[in-house]
Amino acid sequence: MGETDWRELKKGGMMRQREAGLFSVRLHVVGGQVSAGQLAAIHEAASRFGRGEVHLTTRQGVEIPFVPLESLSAVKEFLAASGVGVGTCGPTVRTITACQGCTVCPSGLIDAPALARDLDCAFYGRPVPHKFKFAVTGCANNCIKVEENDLGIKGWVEPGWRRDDCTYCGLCAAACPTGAIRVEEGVAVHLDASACIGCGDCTDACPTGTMAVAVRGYRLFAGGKFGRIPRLGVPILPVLRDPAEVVRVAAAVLDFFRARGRPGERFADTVARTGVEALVAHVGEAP
Amino acid sequence: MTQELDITGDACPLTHVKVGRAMDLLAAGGTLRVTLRADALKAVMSSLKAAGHRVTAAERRDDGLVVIEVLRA
Repeated sequence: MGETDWRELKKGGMMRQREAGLFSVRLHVVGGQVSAGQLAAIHEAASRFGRGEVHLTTRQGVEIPFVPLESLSAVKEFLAASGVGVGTCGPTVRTITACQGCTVCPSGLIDAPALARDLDCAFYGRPVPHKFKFAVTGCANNCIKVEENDLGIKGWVEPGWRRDDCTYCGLCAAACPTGAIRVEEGVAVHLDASACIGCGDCTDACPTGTMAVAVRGYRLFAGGKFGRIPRLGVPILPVLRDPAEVVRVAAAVLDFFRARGRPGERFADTVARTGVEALVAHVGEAP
Repeated sequence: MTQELDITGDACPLTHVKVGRAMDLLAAGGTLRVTLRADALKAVMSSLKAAGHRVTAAERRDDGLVVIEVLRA
């Protein structure tokens, strides 16, 4: 087999192991959600085609290692019959990670799994200059660590204050973990948007409802990565209110990467080279 | 009649569980005065509001602790 063939297999989620002739088969998982039926199929496939082992990856993926070259087609067909797809590797849009968001977690502000499915549907496996990782986290607790990803989406609350009925008790300021709120008693409550992390603790703490949710939505962080030289993604754009808008922006971000990224260059390095302003301008102009 | 509760030594979820239990033991119209740390505010206030109780007074003390008075629904 030539190098090109190995690369094609890798793009299709079949990754060559150290041992000659053996492959680790990456499965298609979205937001770490796997049904019990799929787990049963994965169990059966690992026993039948591998060595009865399953590897849980660092990004919520599932791989079946020790599958011989001659069984790759068979394992793929077997899993497909149970609704389990084979994953991707190489210079493509990779597994989209997500927390359980507001569907399960009391802290969740957005439906992270649903947005992960939308992004997966639109972009999973699509070619890009280098691997591209999306992550969706439900709130400021950031269990998914979105800033480590090429494009991360975080559930976000923008608080808004109104004077009526405010007693200036200061609980909003006391609850704020970053000191973004200053109470001028009897006069006003001042919000420093640049220090706000969108957690919404102030709105939860307010006894009168005068510090309330003004916007609940999606904050995007672009240009993060881990690996050998880690870099944290930076916030771009105002808080988006609609998941469809997030998908539109994500498409524009990927267009920017395809247009400006060099082959083999991580998106973080592209953004560092062009400046984040160029990315924001491109996204703003995209239809 | 006002009952007193100090949860400054407790961590979530014991904070709002203890407050919820103390509210359950109050007669309707009774008041609970709770002393807590600022980092417990989110969970405690959320659970009180969800249960329909009303915070009638709040004070930030100089030592950083918070005191709230809650009227049982």
